[in-house]
Amino acid sequence: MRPHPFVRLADWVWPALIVCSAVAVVVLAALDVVSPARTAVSVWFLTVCPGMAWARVVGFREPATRWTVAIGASLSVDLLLALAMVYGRRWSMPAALGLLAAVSVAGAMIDVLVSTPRRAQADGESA
Amino acid sequence: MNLSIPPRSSRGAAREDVLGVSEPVAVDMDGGGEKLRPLPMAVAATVPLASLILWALAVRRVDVRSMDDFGLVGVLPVAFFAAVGLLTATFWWLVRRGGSAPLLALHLVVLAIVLHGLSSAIEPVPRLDAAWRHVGIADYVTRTHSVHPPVDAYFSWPGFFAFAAMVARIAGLPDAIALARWAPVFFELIGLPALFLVMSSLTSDRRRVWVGCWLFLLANWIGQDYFSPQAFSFFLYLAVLGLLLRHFRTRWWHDGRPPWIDRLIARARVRPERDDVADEVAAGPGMRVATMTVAIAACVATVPTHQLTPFAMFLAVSVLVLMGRVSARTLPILIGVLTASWLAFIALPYVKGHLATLVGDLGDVGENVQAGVLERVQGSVGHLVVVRTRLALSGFVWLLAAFGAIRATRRAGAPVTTVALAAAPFALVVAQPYGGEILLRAYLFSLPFMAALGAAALLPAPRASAVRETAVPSWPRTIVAALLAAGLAVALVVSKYGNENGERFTLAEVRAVERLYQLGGPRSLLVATVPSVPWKARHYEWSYEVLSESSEWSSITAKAPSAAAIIPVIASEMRSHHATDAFVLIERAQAEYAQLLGLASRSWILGLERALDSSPLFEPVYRNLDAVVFRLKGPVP
Repeated sequence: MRPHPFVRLADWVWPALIVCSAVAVVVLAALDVVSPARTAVSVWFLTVCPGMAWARVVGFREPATRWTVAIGASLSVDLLLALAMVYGRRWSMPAALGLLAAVSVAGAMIDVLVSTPRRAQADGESA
Repeated sequence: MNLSIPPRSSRGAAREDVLGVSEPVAVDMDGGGEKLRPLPMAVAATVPLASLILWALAVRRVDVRSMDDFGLVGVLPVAFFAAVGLLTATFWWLVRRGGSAPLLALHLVVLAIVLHGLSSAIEPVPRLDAAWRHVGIADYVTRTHSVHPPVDAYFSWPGFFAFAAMVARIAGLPDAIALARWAPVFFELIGLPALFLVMSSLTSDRRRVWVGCWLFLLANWIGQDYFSPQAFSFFLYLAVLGLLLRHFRTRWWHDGRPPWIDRLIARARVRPERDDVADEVAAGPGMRVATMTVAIAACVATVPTHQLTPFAMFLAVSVLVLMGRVSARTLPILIGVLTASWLAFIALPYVKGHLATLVGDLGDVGENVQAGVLERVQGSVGHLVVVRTRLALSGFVWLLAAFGAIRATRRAGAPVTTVALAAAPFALVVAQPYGGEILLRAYLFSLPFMAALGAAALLPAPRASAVRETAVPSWPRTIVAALLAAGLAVALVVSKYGNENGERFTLAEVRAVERLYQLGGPRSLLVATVPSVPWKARHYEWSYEVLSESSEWSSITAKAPSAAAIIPVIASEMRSHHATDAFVLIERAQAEYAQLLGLASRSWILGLERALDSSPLFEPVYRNLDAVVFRLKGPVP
């Protein structure tokens, strides 16, 4: 897929990182790898990725706001999902991980295909 | 928005009056300006990394076995203090010189690791018995996929434990012990963006923002950043306040103030600080909807996670709404309804069973303060020094904040929002002692705002007329502030890690607990003398007993452990639980903890071990360097 003419290479870094993190966590979990690397990647993914994907879609540019939204949203969603599984008696790690990975990848795709080109175009036009 | 501090060379000049002395200061406007030259920039970027390496080398050389009642500070090598000193020096140089945001942020990140990751790096397993308990509740959720409120209060607020269970499973860990070990670093780091957001929404002076964050890290000695619901929910508390202050700010300075605030301001004859209205942020409707969604999600996540934080959040958000500082008027109502609903439906069994405890001390401020302060000033000589250092550090931060508020009021206008947010958590003290910890928790909830005010005391204040102005501190002021910050860093190490000898655990102690679990079963009774035991990380629902929490404890410790009556009393107490078998675990941490907190002397606990060893009522079934397990002989009814 060719990038939109207004999209810079730097705009692909975060979506790529989010998709790679999601894929890595899912693959490591599917293979049941026991390693500190899996712990590090999983904690990174669960703490940052779902929220960061959508924070970028919304277009938060200020770093402090973007990181606060990303971590706040990720941890809140993780916690509420885990709690829903407990009270709903539907404890399933594959389902939880699949859902969080899907949310992250969907956000990253919308970011790179829709939001970033739209913002870049708006910036280009205003400039 | 430009987050960097503008450099020194810029337009304008101003004077300030500090302690009656006027000094000329250069004044800058936010944004723009020259950059650091490549060499100073390279040095400023290298020093945090060098400090981190120095710190990593230093912590490897720590011999925790030579620690005394003063805690970790006595066994830290000089290289640790050199690392903190280097970091402090370049941070303050950057503050004066006008450093870029990435460089200053790097300094904050390294400071958080260096100061708050000490025990994680030095000790092989998590510190604090409570952290092990929390691992155990997460383990219970993993095993049963459910919660069981009758076990204890934790199961009525299970949000964090369900989250921890999910993270551990996804991370491929057998339990959350590895997560618990590094939790302090994790929580301090994830809190930094939210802390910065709060600070930068309260003042447009970039220097105050960075120094405020620095002060927060130096003054956060409370130790509530361990693997716990309160650490998780404190981050959410900061995030909600930061997002509201940034994206739901009213035009307070111009026309957003409610009339009662105007009347109050007129009566007090102060003018509000214009800096209170920080940089405008162009937030479109979509961004505001997204921000509110995240804020609501954070509130919803806080309510089932921690008993106290929703109340602190409610107070802070209510203060902002009542003052007319934020437009999210329904959010306090939402937090109130959610909290009340949780208490009325999900946590009702706990609330009904503990109603007297929950409301018994309502309004008894004296009792609640006494439980939080006076009852803690006891224990060994070393521990008393540590407790007094904590009191002095807290008092100093409050004094610094008061001084900063007065200076800001005289120079640029009263920082009314910051003062109100700093004061709001202390309303919690009226409610109840919270197990003797309410004053500590109020200190923590108010600390971001106290630190923001403290930064105003350390830095020259810009003129009232110049919004977005930041005054460059003189060299003498910068040096004094840096020395003060270095002193605070040492005080933090004394305060935060002062109980370390009784709160840390060794691998041998953990192995003893593992052996205890192999020897016992679901209907066994497991006994320790004082709470500092690395147990409950598995089999949380088994029966545990801590002798120091029984009413007999003071009469037991009043006599020598070898006295004829002591061992039979303990045996009788254990038999009264009707367990299939019963074990006593005595380990190093219990002796140190009892000595530190004055529950019993170290020699008394070790004497008890010898008495159990020679008693016909008990037999040793496991022993290692740091721990012994005894089994109660004979029939246990």
